[in-house]
Amino acid sequence: MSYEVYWTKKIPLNAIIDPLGIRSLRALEDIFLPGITTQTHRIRYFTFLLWAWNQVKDRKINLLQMEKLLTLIVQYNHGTNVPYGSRNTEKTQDFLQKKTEDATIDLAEFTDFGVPGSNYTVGYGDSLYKNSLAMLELVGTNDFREIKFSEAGRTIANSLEHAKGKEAFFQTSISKKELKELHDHFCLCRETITDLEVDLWRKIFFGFTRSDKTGTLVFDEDKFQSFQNNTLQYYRSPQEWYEIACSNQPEKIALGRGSLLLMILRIIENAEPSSQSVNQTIRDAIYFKQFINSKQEVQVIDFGSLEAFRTIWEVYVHNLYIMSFLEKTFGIFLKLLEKKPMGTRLENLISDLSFNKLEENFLSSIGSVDLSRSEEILSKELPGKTTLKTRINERDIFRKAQSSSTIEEKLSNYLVLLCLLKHRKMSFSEPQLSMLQYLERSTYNLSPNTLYTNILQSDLRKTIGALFRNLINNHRTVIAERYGAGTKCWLLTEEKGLLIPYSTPYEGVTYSETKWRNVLEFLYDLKLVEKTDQKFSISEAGSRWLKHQV
Amino acid sequence: MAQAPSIVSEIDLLKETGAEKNCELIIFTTFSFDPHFFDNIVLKKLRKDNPIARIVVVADSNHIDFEKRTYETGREYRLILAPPTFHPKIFLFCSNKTGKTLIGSHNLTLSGFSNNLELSCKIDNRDITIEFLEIIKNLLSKLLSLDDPIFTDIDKQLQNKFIRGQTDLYTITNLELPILDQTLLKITKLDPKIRTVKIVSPFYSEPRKLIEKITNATKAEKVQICVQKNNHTLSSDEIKNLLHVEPLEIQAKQKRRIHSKIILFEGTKKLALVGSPNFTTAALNEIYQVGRSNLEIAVLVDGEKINSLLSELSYLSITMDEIDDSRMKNNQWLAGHYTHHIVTSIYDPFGYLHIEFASSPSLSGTYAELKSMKNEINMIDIGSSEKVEGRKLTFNCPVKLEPGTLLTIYSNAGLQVSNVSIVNILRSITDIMPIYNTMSPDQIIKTLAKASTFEDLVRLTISLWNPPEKTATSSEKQTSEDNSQPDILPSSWGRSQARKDILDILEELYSLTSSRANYPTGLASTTNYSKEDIVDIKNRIRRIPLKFTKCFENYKLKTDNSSSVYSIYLLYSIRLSEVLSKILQTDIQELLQREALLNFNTLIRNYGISLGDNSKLLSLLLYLESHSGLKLDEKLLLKLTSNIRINELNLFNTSYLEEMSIELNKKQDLYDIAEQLTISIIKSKGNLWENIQINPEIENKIFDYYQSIIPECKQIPKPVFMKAVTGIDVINLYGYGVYPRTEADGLPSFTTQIPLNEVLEKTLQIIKGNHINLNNESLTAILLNKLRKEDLRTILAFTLERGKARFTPGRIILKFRKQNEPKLAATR
Repeated sequence: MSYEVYWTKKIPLNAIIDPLGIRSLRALEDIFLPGITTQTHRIRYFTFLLWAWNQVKDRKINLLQMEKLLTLIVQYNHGTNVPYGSRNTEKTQDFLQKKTEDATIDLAEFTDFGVPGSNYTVGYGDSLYKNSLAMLELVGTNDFREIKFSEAGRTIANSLEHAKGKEAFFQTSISKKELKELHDHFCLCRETITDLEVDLWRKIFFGFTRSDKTGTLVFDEDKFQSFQNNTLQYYRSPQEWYEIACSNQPEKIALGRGSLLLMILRIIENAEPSSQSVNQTIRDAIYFKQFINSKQEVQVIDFGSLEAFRTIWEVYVHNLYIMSFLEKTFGIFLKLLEKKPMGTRLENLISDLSFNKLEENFLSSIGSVDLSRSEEILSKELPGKTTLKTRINERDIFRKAQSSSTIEEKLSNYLVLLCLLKHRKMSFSEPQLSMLQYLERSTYNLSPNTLYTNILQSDLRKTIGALFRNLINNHRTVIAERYGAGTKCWLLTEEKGLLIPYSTPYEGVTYSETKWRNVLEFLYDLKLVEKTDQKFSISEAGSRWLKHQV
Repeated sequence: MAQAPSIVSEIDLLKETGAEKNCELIIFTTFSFDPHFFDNIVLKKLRKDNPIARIVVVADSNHIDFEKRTYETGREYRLILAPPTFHPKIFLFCSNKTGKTLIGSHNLTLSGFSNNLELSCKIDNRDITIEFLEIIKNLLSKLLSLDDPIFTDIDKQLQNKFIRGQTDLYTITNLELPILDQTLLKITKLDPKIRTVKIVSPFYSEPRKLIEKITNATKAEKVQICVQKNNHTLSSDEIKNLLHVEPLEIQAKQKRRIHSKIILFEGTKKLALVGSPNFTTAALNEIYQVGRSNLEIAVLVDGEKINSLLSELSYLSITMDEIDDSRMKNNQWLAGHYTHHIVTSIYDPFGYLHIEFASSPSLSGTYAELKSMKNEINMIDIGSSEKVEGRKLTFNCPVKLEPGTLLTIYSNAGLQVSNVSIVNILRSITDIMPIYNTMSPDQIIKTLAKASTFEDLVRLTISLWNPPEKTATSSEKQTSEDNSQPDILPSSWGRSQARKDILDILEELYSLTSSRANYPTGLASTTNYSKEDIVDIKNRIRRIPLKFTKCFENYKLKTDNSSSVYSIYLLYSIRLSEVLSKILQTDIQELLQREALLNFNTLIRNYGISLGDNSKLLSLLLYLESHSGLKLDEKLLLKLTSNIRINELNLFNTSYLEEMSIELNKKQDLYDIAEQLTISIIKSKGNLWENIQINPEIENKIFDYYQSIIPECKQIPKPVFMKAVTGIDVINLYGYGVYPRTEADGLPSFTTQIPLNEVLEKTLQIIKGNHINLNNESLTAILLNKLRKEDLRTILAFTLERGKARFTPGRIILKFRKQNEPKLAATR
């Protein structure tokens, strides 16, 4: 047969992450939090890996096998209550359950441990932690892809060298009894972390390190002493912090990381947020210098010498709201489009909205449907910045938008949010504006400045049209970029103005700053923060640390 | 027809287009075109695996989404804007070994590739692909001039065409007859008992008329019209009261939008028409006319396959009201007909904008609007342009254009008079320049002779390294199989490598010279180049002769070391040196020619030269020597002249150089060199007489002169004198009272009052002055002048008795004759 006839296939897509390509708006966290990703959680895993890599080289042992054993120890000793962030829980549980108490466990039988994408040949250490440890300058790789330690990295690796029972990691089998015995020295939980480990990791994360003449990272006891003596200068002007952020100099960045952790500790000390409200509380504290306490009262927070640093992070929160605005409105657009599986034109899609409802909300919130004048109108009512006590503020309108029942209501609340953000931007100082500009470098046509200029227009219909058109165009650019890396991620297609949904659900995340949770887990392992089921709070050591009384 | 149902019913168009490798020609025809999708998603992969392919996109000019253009649009590929309504959807991939065609309902858009439910017929067969290529060539020839580079590549593929065997696939276009007419003719022939017809189409116009035509021809008892709700333009009025017509709602999984167009005929056999035509009069019932009606391409395929595919969809009954309620609104395609239709425009690296219209344009009082990606607008008066040739307008664009520039023509009154088009600013020279098809050395030399601009030279260079593939005939194949000699032809890789090398250099030069329009005073005076840049540019330029030589060596000389090929090499080098010096206004001509001569010496040492006429080559060599100041290897020159008879026609003829448009601005140098060479040759050949020829006319004049200086012979009839002095009939003189002394050789001698030196000088003058080819610029003249003092005296000594005033005129004549006779015989 010389030919064949087919239906064309609907192309299956990859995971839809950041479909508008706006992640760089929160790049500040990447700058100041190298080594803490949403993927890594437990500090012991860091220590363990540093130690294990040493053994792998010396004893020609398989790292994956060592990681398997570590996971079995955690699982056996904690059952269903494993430490937050432990990996492979269910599969490990299943594996263990099949073994009797007196059975010898052959690690080679534990075949489904590791990263599924690697066909279980790569452990979590290699795939998730290695990059973090490299960013912290504790390890690197040479031309032969062999692990190379910095001096600080070697010191931490050695901290496990005297741990009891380490020989078990070089065996190919283990008994459950041994798993129990190994807990006290090797589990991932906070209890097994030694004082030495805590001390070393605190110095790493808070930046009491320096590069020596050979370029290797070493602990800097002078700097630590100076921190204790309260002579280490955390105060830098906003302009200096802006310059540090742009500098890409590890030592300065490490100072910034220490400042950020101190800032988070200060917030935890003041606000003691629940795990549900931790992201919003940190957002509020940074943005408004206020937070809502457990009694639903507005409370003020003083950042002391870190105030200038906070102003830089205020831009970050401003951008988080921008991201939420964009992702949520994109979600709304897609929801509207979803109702037209055969496709529709943008103008038809907008025509289906009830503009009466939209206008009503604007009149009550801003007092005008001419959004190009929103800043002017808001400035009259709110000459300064919004606070948690003003009639209208970013936090409340965002929460209101989330809980709104109709699409029109949601959309109008998000647009009010955009007006408020524009109003906030007007209060930004020069360094803040520089930071804003720095962070919006690669956000195509959805950077905050462009949004305020191009989206907010004299007419609601035009505003929504411009917003949706920009979202579509940005998504299109992202599609092309991602496809270049082999990822197919389009949520809609467009042919000569006919928009057709791809029927892939997308709503956008509410909080994109999920890293705070991981930061708190690290601070918990460093014993600076306490956590219960209800809330995070500062530990006694944490309070002393904040006062620099180590 | 085969009855085997399809096993795999889906095709991934992205994978399918990305799977092709090492194609030479890739053509996409489409109605809608989304440049952003194509440039970012299709093109990258395509270009990676098909580095040398010419890629062409032909799209309906009204349905190109220029808002989505990128800096790559019209850069890596040619974008042709067909006048509306251009509807065929063919993706064609071709090399000299493989061919694949996808024909269907899919446009070159993300929706067409990933979202819509489209029907695609995949043909993995080069011979059928070539048939589609012929159709495409046919329709492109209605839009573009035949010297367009696209046709070179198409023709190259068409050369390797074989007659395909019988298949069950019939291609139908409306280039000559309406599609429906052809389909019904074919259907009724293949199966006279059609019972049911099933129609799937999103777009409808005058369906009643079409259905009646179908039922009249086939006598079908049932016609099912399948529409997808909110994705059709069918009006219930059109099908009401039509007997046998059954409307159905059709549904696809995942709520996919059905964009396929199918007419399935079911009888004893099943046949289906699939492809681009919707169920509209414009698509099915009209013949294509540029700019007036639809162009459609469809295939008639095995209906069993289609039936099997259609069975994967769901069908529900639908009421007339539901049809109307779910009918698409605002689906009118933009008509957009303008007085001028721009089919394509190319901005070449020399700053010229070439615009080709669908018909000869009348541009009086018009402006071209050029709009960049950054929305910067330049208006250019083209109304006063006199550079329209046929459908083409070419002019030196006063602004430098960037990729992604849109071109639209407006009248003085501000009315848009053309479609919006995009300027192709192609990355590859071969996409821009027409390529000469000939590989005949003489033809190349002729073309080189005419080459006066860099553009000409580039065209020619491309031709040199882009010869049409030689198609071996069966007898040739047989010969080559029998021949155990290794194949001396460079591999296709070698050829393409050589071509790539030379093109790399030319591409580089393009970029260097593309700013000429902006810097008319040349390289030396432009402030845009730093000193370092200029040094770098000069160094790059100096490398060109060597690079060119290497390519020449790798490709040309391994197969042909004839004098013509060397002549091409030298002539090309001369042209290159002239053109580069002119463009860059830098005195590098001598330098480049010197390099060329040195390289020539190496080439000829390594590859030798086959027997043949070297006269043109010698002329070029002498020219180069005189201009470059580099002394040629005398042995080499003597070798080249071994087969040459030394006269002005063969050795050195200025008319050769004139033919090759070579200006002789250093004439005296040239003659001096030629003279030296001639003397060397004469000396090496050892016989002076061989090098001098006199013809009967000169001989006649010499006789006249000799008769006039011998008083007793003046009154004798000339024939008598001639016969007597040459010893043929001496006695006859006696009848006229003349009794000369007869010398030992039997020739009569006379006394004369004229000094013998004068006689010799005069004889020489006659030979020089009356010889038809002798003049002061000719080699023989130079030769004789040179010989006068030394060698000619020896010649004339034959005529004299040393120390006496006796003169034997016959000796010189006979000597000439004797020397000439064998040569003439050899010539004959």
